[in-house]
Amino acid sequence: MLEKLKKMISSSDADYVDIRYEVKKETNGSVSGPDLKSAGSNTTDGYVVRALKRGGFSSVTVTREEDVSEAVKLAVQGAEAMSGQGKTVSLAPVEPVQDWVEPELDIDPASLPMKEKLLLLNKYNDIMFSFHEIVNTNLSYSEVDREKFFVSSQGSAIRERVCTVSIGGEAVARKGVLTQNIRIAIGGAHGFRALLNRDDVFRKRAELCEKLLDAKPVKAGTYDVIINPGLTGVFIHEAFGHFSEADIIEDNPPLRARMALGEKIGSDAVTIVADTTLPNQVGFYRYDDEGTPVRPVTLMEKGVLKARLHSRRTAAEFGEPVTGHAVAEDHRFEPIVRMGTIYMQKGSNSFEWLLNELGDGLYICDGKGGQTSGENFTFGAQYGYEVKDGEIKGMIRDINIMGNMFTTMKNIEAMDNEMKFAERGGCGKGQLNIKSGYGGPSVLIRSMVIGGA
Amino acid sequence: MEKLLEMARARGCRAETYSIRARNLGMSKVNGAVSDVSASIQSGVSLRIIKDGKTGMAYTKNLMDREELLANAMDSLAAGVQADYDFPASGEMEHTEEYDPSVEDMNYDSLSEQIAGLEPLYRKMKGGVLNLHAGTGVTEIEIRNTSGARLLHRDSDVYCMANMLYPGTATGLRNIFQARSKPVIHIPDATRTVAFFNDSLPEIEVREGRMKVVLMPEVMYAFTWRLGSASSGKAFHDKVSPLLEKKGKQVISPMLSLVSDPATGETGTRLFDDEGVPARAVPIFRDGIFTSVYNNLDYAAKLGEEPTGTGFRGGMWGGEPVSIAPSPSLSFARFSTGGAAFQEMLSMIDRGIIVFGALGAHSGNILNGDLSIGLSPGIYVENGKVKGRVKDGMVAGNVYEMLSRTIAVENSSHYTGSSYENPAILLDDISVVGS
Repeated sequence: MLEKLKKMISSSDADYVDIRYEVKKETNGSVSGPDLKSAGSNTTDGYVVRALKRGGFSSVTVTREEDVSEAVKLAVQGAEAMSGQGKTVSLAPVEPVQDWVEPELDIDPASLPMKEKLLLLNKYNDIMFSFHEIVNTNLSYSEVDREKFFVSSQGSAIRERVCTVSIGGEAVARKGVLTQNIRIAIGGAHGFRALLNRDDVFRKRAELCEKLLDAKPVKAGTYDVIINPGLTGVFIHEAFGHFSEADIIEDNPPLRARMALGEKIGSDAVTIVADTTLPNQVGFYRYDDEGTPVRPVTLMEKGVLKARLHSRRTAAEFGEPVTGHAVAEDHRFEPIVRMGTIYMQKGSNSFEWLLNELGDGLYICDGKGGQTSGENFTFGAQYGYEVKDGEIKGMIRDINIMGNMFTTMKNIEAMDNEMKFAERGGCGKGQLNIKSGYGGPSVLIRSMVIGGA
Repeated sequence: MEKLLEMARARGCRAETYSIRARNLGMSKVNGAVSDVSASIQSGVSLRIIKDGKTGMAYTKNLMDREELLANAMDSLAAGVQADYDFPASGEMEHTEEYDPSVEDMNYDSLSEQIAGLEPLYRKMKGGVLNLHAGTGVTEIEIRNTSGARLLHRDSDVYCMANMLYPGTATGLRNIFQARSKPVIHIPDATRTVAFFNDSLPEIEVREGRMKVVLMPEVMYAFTWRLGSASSGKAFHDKVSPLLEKKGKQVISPMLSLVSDPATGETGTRLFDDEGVPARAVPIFRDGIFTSVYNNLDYAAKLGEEPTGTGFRGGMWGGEPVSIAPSPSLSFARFSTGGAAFQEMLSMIDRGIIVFGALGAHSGNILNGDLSIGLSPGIYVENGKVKGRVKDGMVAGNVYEMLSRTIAVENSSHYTGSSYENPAILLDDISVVGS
């Protein structure tokens, strides 16, 4: 395939051209309550061509092989249309690479029959659905197996397979007119074993969901809070992570100035790392979708900005080193700057110590979707508790957090010494990225804006 | 596609093929410099089969091997997903009124012209960053089934969009104009947005509390999402909807009606849904009264109701249409216009916020109607005058309770992308929190 791709781009007169071909096999099964809703395994494929010519840069995605020659021409036309129109693009240098990467999977899900996957899904569904006040469940098995072939006119030729599995969804509890739901996800990018023997996880989530029916809606206002690791990951991803993606700030000079490397924007307690090379994490990959090897990046150290995440284009634009974070959802998309695995480093004290430091406030847990717009972020929490004098009290629900990144990073006071990472990723920055992983410890933050229902 | 149907029929199956072809071009300009140029030419085929009360589905992007596609569908069928419906006998229909073939010939120069036409309208911006985008698209959808449906939909669209970002932020105001071949730029909308932008440049802190809130058309999708989640056939079948016992009852303000009508949209229509069911008007809420549950073939059969022509292939995060089975969808629902001019609504505000964008609309308990959205941005108004944009604010509540507090509905609708087109709505006594 790599040789075929080389031929496809060989006749282009662009200054630089690359092509990525991907075969994506998706195996899915889903249940809603007692009903099986879908099951199947399907394969799709497609090509992404990018061309750089006289400072213009353009991309074209096509499905059919017979359209590739038109795609190469169209990409060059796009680059020419951009050339001389204000912005001059260059690509930061990377060493040409020839490599073939296979993931290290404990059990390759491709080796298992669909029946086994559906049995497991049904087993976990039955556990949740057996709870008295759980009136519905929506659970799905998802297996995404991507085989990527990348060739560039600079001599790179890379084949990499990435395989992600998960079982996840929600349970819904109802009492009168009140419905409450709780999310659940298990899985990873290191094989099928992550899905086995997880009955307790589903049981505990169902229990939590039932308890939410008796929880109090949180009163909107400003609180000191502890966020649990499930929420810390979402917080780091939404509040800071997107701001460390170079393409988010590149066309906004005041934002670039505020995010200049060396600026202190967080408290001394905060160190944040993007490390997609961490084994056994959902974010793991070896090369990004423009053939750059990914490397660990310390983004913030003791509150001071140290680096940011780049594609080759943004690295050249900022005059900073490449990091290997240009990632596409699949063969339908050009790569854009994305987080792989991002986390906040843990502290040295216990959770009990953190509660004591909090005194009065809220302990809020597990993410329920988030979004960022520049320095502003918002995300939901699945459940939480009131805290009085350092003791966890009654359960609360309907929790949404809103904040300003610059303010909040300075309000982070401390964290405990236990790290956890999410087992399933997800980010919707223009394209879906299921390999967007995150994690961290429990974190004490002062003065968070909480919107109740 | 006919051959696929024949092959499925030979295996004793009823079958449906859904095929899509789409070609898109796009160009972006930031503060006068072209920043992005891209194109895509995509296609795909989905096959659904029904046999012995079970259904299977398979899809591919490249239809190279029909046998393999059918084999995948048969494997899927073997898993045992129940189907109590048949594919509709919708006859033959070609819907190409929304298609202008000249769009196929548009190129990057055409996009550059679109952007150039938009640029002068925003010259009066007093700061910030101006992002301009233009794009073209041609989409063809073909549905065939063994009940005799032979349906073709082809449309084209050209859009241009202006995003005005406040200095030092990624938050701002925007206009989008769209048509099947040449968008008409509605100058009053652009002028109004620029005026709001300039008046709201000062960033101010607003005291938390309850106040009037204007929901601009750009944020109405967050409300449609929640109302749609509760009124879908799935929520009723699963018995999880907060509207279960509310049919025929007043649940939101009598000033509000929400109708799903794919057939009569101003900005793109569909005469049949993605299952080939003829599209029709479905009043979800009429004068605030919960009127109809909408469905797809599956949930219509499960609930013993007629299909409402609202089975579409799409997900919360977009996705590849051929890979997503049709589900009940309010993709084409709009709030009806009311009787108030926007200026009139503004003058009704003693103290309040205009919400121009929602941050985190997908967070929270959507089925229950809970809503906490970050103001992205929110503009603070006192005695009908804009005072500035709110620093770090959030509007919070439950959509049923919030929409019951409607005191005015704008007398015109505005297109905000993705077939959404709504008026602005003024609510009274809404919780606003901030720092």
